Amino acid sequence: MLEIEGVVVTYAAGRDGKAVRAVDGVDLTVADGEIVCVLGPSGSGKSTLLRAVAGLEPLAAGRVRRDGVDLAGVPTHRRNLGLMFQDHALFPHRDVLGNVAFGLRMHDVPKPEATARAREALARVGLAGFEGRSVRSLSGGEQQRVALARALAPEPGLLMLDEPLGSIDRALRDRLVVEVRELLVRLGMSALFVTHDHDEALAVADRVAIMHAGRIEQQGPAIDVWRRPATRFVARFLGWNVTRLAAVARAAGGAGAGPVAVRPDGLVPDPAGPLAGTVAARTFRRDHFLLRVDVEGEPLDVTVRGDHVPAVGDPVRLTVDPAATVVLGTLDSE
Amino acid sequence: MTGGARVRTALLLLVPVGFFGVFFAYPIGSILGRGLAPGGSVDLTPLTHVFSDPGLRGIAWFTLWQAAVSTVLTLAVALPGAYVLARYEFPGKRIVRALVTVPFVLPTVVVGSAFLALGFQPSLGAILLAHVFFNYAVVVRTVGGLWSHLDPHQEEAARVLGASRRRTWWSVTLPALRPALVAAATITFLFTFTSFGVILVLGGPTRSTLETEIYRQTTQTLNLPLAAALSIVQLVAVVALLVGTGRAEGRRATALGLRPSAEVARRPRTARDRAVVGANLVVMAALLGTPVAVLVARSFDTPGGAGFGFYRALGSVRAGSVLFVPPTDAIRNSLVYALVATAIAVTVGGLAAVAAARTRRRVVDGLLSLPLGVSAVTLGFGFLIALDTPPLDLRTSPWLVPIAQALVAIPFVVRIVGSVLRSIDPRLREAAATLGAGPARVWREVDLPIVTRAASVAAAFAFAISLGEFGATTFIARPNHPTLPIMIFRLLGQPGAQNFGAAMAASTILMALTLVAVLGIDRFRVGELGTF
Repeated sequence: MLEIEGVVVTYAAGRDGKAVRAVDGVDLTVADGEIVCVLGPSGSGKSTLLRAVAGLEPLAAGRVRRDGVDLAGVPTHRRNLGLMFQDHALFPHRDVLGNVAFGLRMHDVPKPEATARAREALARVGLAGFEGRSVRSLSGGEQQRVALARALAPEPGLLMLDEPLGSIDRALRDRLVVEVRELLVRLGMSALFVTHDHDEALAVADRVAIMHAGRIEQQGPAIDVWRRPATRFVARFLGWNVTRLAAVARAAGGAGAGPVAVRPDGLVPDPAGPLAGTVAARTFRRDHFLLRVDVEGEPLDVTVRGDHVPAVGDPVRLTVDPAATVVLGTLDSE
Repeated sequence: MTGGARVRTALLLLVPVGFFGVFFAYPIGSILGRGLAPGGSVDLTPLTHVFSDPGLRGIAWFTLWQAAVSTVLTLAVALPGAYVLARYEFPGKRIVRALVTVPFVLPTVVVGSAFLALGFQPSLGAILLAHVFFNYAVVVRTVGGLWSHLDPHQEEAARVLGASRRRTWWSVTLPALRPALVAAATITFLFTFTSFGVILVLGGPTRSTLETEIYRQTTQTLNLPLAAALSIVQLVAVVALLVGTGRAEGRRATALGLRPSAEVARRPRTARDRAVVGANLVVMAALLGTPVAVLVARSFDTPGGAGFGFYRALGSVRAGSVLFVPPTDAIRNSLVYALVATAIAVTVGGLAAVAAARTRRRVVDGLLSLPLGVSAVTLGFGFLIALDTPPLDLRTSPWLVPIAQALVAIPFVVRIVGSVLRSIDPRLREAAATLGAGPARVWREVDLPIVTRAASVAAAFAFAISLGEFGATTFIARPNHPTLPIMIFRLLGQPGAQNFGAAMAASTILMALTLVAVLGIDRFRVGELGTF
């Protein structure tokens, strides 16, 4: 069990040396065997949070505990956790096997066993046969998988992954996301995962924490966060429309209160719908169209399936699916 | 930094600081004492004499402008060469790159005799040409080193945005190269400003620089206060230059898009590409290849036809010569001295570089490169006047020469090892830590393997430099224990075709020994930015 409590990480930035709070009071826990994903745009402080847990960044406030033990004063190499770096950080002077076996050697695993386990880790990420290759000769995706194998090989109590699938092309990534999750579940490993890609986060995580400007705005089971965003930032980040239009607010059951959010698939073209607008833009998205519809001067994203898709400039009326709406809380960063 | 780390760094610095205190600060301090207070009390007569005497003023002025002209010429000739070696991939490029480095490590005396072999009479033109020959590699390595890592996408982006080739060069490439250009120009200027062997051999009796004048005043007129005053003037000029360019370098932009050189270089594809590459290879062959080739040829060109006559003559001392010992003794002396000097330079310089990388302070770096600015002659002169009285009477010690040579080589060791240490991605150390390696283990697993390779390169460099060291060694080598460069200079100073031929043969041997050392350098290179 990893407990992060009120963690603040600051660093001096700019010519005036003013301290920037990269992580600004984060509370987060990762239970044993749980996969938690921190999701946020770049610059939100996700990577810094991982580095702080690893002991690579000093805490300005708060604490990190593993199984009830405060990690303050425990140096990085005794924290028994794996960190997979965004830029891989493979050792250029060692071959693939040398990289993967490194952590095992550091834990004094006898050489034959270390080699066997490193080979096994390589096989798990689909790189059997790459043992003697120079890491410089590998493609970005292969390097990433070596980095993953290296972090996995010592079977740390907690695995942290920083944008682990960033430099892999879409098709391979979709497959690897599933594989990584299966692997973590099979090994019963706890994992703290950082990404800016919400498809990846929702696919891999048991629980999701959305990070914005150094703070966690919302956390919970992936499906709950996806269905009930709590703040304007989270709603927008997940692709919802945030609006104060009366017809949407009524459908959400929150008329008169704060803003409401509605998913693009919760706005349905309907000649009898209460919202009247004009199609401003139309984008083809594999299995649907995404329309941008101007309603009373507000742009709304609308997904449309089927053959009869309005063209740009067409007038369109929309009805609101109450199940796809949510009234945003007053607890809001914006 | 924690308290423990601070203590460790201090311990690492102990040896280099002690070494520098005794063998650098003390001799230089003695020079200051002799120059500013010759009779024990402050007396600025020698110093004012340097500026009031028209002859000495002329020497100072000549030193300055020949260095400036040499630097400009070198940049003009070598920049296109640096471009070609950085941006084009062609068969034999590695060999060309290695060969281009050869003149730089050639002993200055050999460079001088190579130009004499070419048929040059001592003249200004010969000096300038020899300086370009000698420093070509500095520009190619320093500027080309950075150039070969500059992301060509930046230039392509400028072109796509509407900049002409010329505009792209001025507004994108040149600013990106600026730090390396400043560094290369500074080093070239320093080397030519304090040029000794080349001027001594190619300057003739009338042309003198501060460096050769210090030598003359010490060994011929025995006017030590004046020699000290000249050293001080030179020291001040050099330090002012180093500080000035250090400031300029400090302001440089740091966020350069650097890429592996293999991704930057491409094969010549158009006729223009081929013309540029071809023309530069011709320049390199003519400028760098010809003197060396002619030197070797002359060493075999005995009166009775081609043969080893001059080489055989190296084994004996002819009656009436001032050689004292057979030149073959000098070969042995040179090798032994160079080995010892290399060991000292790698130990002291390596420790200093490791400590400097830990503190990340430029100050340490700057202090360690000071011997680079203090000319070899000044150093030798300092040794001569400082280390001749108890408790440090080392006049007859066999250690003196290797120590002086090591001091000349240490700045190179520090730069080579230091730049590699700093280029290690800190994330590699972090990755090792997350995988369970403690601080000492991290150093052993990550830093050490990389440093070992850098140290091999540094050792090869130090060995080559020590082999060819002339300026400091002439002051302190005992007459009957000369090194090979000193022997060559003695041979050149004697009349007759036999002596000239023997000088060519000795130069060829010295060059061959240097080459063996340098051939290792490109093999060991870690592939980081140009190091000088």
